[in-house]
Amino acid sequence: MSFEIVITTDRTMMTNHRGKEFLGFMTTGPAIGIPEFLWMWIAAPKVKVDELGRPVEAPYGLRKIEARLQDLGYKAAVIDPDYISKHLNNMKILMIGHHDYFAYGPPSSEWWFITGKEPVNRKSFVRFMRSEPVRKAREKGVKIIAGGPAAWQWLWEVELMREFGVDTVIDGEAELVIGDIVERALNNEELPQYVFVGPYEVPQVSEIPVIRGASVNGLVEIMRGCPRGCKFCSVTLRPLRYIPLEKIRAEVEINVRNGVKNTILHSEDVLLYGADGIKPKEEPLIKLHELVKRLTPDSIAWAHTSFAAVKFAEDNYRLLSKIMNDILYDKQDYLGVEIGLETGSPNLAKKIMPAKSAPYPPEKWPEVVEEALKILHENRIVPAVTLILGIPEETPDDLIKTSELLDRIRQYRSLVVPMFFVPMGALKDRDWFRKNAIRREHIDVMLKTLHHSIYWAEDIMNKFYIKESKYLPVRILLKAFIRYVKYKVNKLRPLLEELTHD
Amino acid sequence: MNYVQPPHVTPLSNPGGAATSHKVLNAVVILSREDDFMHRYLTYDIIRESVRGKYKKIQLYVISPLPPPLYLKQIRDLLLSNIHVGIVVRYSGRDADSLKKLLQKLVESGNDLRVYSSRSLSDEYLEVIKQFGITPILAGESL
Repeated sequence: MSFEIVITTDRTMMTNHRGKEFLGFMTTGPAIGIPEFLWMWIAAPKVKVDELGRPVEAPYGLRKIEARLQDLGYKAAVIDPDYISKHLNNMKILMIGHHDYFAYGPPSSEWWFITGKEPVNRKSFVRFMRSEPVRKAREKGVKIIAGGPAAWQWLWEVELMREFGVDTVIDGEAELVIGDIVERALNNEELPQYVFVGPYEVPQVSEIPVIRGASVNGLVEIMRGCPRGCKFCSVTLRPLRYIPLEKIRAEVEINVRNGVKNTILHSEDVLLYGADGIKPKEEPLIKLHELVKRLTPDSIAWAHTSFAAVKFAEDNYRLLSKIMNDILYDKQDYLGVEIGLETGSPNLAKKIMPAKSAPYPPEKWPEVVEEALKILHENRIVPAVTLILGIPEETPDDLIKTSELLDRIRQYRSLVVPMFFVPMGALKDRDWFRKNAIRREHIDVMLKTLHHSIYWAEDIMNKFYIKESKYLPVRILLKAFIRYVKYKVNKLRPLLEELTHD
Repeated sequence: MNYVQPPHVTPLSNPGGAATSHKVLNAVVILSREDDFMHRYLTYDIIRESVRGKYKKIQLYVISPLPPPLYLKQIRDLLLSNIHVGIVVRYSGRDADSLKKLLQKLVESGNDLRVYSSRSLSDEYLEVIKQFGITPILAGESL
């Protein structure tokens, strides 16, 4: 079997992170305290492939493009980066996707900023693009098309774009534009250099294809877009669409059939599935979880939710208790999710994310966060919480408010990760957060998040995460890493304290 | 309880997505020197009509002495400023001859056509633009 269109990415993306999505975060940083090959071994092991190099699991975005192109009648397949050379004879187009090509997104840019070392995702991607099979493909005249959520990063790396021979970059939901570009490429017609897919060109629900092969760790999209309108976020620019249960069922079944036994429900806010605006509704969420539980042999996770939705859903319907204790009780002892806290300051919240706290007023944002974290803690839902530092208009007082909130949430099981502002969404024309803009209040917040996360990481590893015996080597290495970070922070403590109290 | 309505950031929040016919603006951007950058007033002018809903797609044709894809850095601010409208960027050559061929093609397309430049244009360019009866929009002059 031959493919005229090969869809791929580098190893930091083409991996299942050992079935533990959170380990994927390690690919956004440089190797710290251990050699890079061990770092990659933990975070980005190779995936199983068939005789043609088609991976059993592949990133969801690549699967969507594969499905769309197959629906349009093209011979297209996702291929593991180590097997590109097998397809050189027939390949006409090489498509590449990534969520952080050059480590400019959060949190890669932050680890790079703090450590001064290139994150492994960037190194791995550049290495892949300079590899012999990609070079040979380019020499043979294969068209190279790049896309995915990090497409915008090519605008900052035009020299590499030239070196790698990237013909076209597509920024945005590509389902409705990809066919025309592929047709042009196959007919050797002139290609556009950069395509930004506007809100009028995104697919309707009926035009979003069902994936044909399994996605990494069983990720399945349940919604696109988000109604909250936070200024720093690009997702909120897209129209809101709920994926119907039949499509969700079909995708979970494909994952399970291909041996992926977990499901990650993907949405910017899982609790808004079928919601009434920003107010979660009980029925669609119960139906969704009952369906996915029936189909998924192992555990279920949520990609993202929001503190406001957690509080509203529990206060009004006891919904989190019902999902964890009535539906998932015999399936798993915890559920993981990412949640954006962004700031502890109501003033800043009002400016940059006035609807993040809705239906509660932005003045109540810190209370909403606290109450939601309590609900999550009591229901064994473990959040990875993100903060944004260096948001335009941020003041020292805003940072102090964040710091005070961190003190109050110390008692709740969670990992808190600070991220530096990256211009995206409605703020994408604003300046990046730079090293010389760092204040002592930033350092204070970062130290607090570090202490919080180290404390809870050990608890989470002991009670919930990677506790199975097959993960013993990974657990040993991660614990060694945590000890190393503690040691380094203690060593730097006098200097940091001097900075924060100066 | 105080209920707050979320702001509408997307120009279209049709729950089913959108598949409407697109009114297209053909925008030609002339960057006559390697150190030229898309002026922010021109960026504003290009995007303004789209924000008002007049255009749903912009075909951006760039004339620049910088070869592809390096010229993209000259229009990066425009691309990073836009969230409202689909933009398709094409490199269209480096000189007045390229501009002439391009304008011939675009005039025939029937779409609205505008020519932008971040600085005063040389006679060579002005001559070509004049042949097509187009008034170029220079930085700041259209506002």
